[in-house]
Amino acid sequence: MNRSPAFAPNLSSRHRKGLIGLALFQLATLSSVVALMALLYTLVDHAFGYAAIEYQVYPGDLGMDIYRLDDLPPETLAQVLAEYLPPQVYRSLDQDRPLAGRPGPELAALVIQRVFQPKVVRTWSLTESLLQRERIAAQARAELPYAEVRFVDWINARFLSRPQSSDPLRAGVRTAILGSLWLMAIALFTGLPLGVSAAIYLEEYADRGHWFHRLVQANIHNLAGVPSIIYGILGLAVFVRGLAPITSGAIFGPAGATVNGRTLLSGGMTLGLLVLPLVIINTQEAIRAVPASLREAAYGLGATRWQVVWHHVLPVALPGIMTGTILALSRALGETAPLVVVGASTFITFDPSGPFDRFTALPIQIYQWTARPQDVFRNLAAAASITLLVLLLLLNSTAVYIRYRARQGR
Amino acid sequence: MEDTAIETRGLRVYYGDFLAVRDVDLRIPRNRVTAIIGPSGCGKSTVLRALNRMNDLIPHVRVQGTVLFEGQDIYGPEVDPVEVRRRIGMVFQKPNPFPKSIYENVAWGVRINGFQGSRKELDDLVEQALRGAALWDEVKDKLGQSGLSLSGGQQQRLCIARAIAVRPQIILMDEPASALDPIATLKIEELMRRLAENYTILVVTHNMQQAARVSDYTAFFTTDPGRTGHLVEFGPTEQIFTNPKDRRTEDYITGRFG
Ligand SMILES: Nc1ncnc2c1ncn2[C@@H]1O[C@H](COP(=O)(O)OP(=O)(O)OP(=O)(O)O)[C@@H](O)[C@H]1O
Ligand SMILES: [Mg+2]
Repeated sequence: MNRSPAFAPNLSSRHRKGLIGLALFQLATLSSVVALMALLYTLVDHAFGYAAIEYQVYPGDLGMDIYRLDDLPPETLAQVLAEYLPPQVYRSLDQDRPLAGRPGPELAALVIQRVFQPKVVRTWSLTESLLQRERIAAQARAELPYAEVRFVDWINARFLSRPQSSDPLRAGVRTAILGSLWLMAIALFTGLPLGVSAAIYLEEYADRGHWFHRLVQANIHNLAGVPSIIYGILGLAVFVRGLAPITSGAIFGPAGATVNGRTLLSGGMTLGLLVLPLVIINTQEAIRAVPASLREAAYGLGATRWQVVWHHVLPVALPGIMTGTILALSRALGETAPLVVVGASTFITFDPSGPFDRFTALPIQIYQWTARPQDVFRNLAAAASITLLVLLLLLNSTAVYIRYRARQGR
Repeated sequence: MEDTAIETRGLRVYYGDFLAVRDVDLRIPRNRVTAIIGPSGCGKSTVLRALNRMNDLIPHVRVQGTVLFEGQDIYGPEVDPVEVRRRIGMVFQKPNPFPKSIYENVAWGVRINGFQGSRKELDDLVEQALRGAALWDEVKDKLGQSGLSLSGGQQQRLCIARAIAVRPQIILMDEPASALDPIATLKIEELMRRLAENYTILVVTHNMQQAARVSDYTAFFTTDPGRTGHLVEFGPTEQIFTNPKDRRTEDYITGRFG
């Protein structure tokens, strides 16, 4: 090739630099993938595996299995109770409500609680359970001769549908899931209208050169970076304390009200505040992406600002607003600190039925289980983490789907 | 002199501190096609947008002087720019139909301006506008389809239909055919001639032949050394192209400039 003297013949060194860059990028990508895999592995490793369970009365002696009790006829269960319970306990239970008339699941629960009294004394990870079955069996025989060793899936339909319980074999995340869903709904209903309205004002109405506008804009960006616990403190001061009559539901009558403002409403509104700056920023971006030519076309026909915004800008920006909001909500779904500050309850066994109920949420539940001393709660925490991740994944794929649909429609 | 549709007196437009055009005195004759020509950056679009207050939408724009329309200064304190824009419509360089059906593209402007009639009357209005823009025969069977599914030339005619549907007196067109192929361009030019029977047309163009073909009058703008645009010459197109009074006009038209 014709080489001009003004250009140094450095093509090969430029290519070399490019290759080094490429290698670094690939390495970075690889490490993130490895980190992610490690996370998933740890969760799954703890969510399944062998567990050693000790009983007061060994169910095998009765030819029973604690996970299959619901299949048995109620009469059999009542008979077990009659046989194994101390007579005075049996009588008092029977006087409460005749045991013979009670439904199967209730009797099964009684049999487990009062007769078998299972207790998880040791758990093994999935890796150990798969690779070292003999060692586990030997260890159990030597150290825990009275325990039944069985394979347990800590995350399963029962786990998802049961309320919180102090018995790890019966504990579930139903209360926490419902709490999280309520919180998301309330955060959505507070954060979305406020955020979208503010974004419309900032983008379409406010004078962008004005110092006040710039101040507000800078503050919104700063707010988006404020640590979540500070939102918790704000929520505690404003919603829990300041607006206690409203957030506790007291002003709507004593029925259904909570004694203080530590309710779903306070938690949800705190999360609503937390996502507010994100919703504003995302909505502003979506609005800004609406082509100027569309606005000009509408204005050119004699449309008012409101007509332009309502008929043209918002519909076109809507997919962007929705994806942005969903992604903001998925951040809120995982927040723990502000909920702790606002006063999520750590132990609740009843489903939340309205915004004025006390609540717990998935991340709170996970945090609480990891803080327990017994090993078995670590397995429950892993199972709850997987539940939380699946919820997050659902939210995010909704966002991806909306974006995909919007692109198709164009 | 002919009947005047719109007139500027001492019009100056600033973008911030930058004086983009100065001292424009123009009388645009009614029901004629007037072309605005001149080198890039001489303020043709700026002047055009000043005539229906589209410049209001750009931050930091200042307009001085008067623009008389129907005996009233459209920059007067009691004038609502929204009403001005309905009566002085605009067609843009790049076709910009709404991402709605063809029917809705035309009907929307009518509706938001407070149209009171029945559905049938609206249908008729849409048909009239589409006929007026020489598009009816091509789209009458697919009014429900998206306006974006049309070809570029059809889209531009849809934009014209949309503009005339709200019954303006003046239609401002900023290089309406520059994004189109020659055949589509020819259609737009024919359309402009026909529209001039009922509307006053003001068209910015870079295409000398186009200006010569479609316009009755031509205004030539150019820039100072300070990049400020101003009007050099205005007159019947025939005279501007065959016998310009100003040397700069002649240079531009013969291609010795810009
Ligand atoms: N939004 C704006 N902000 C600042 N300056 C602008 C803006 N729009 C146009 N100008 C400036 O005003 C002057 C006139 O611009 P205008 O767009 O009116 O020119 P034009 O004659 O239409 O040019 P063209 O033929 O390229 O379309 C130019 O110097 C341009 O840089
Ligand atoms: Mg221009």
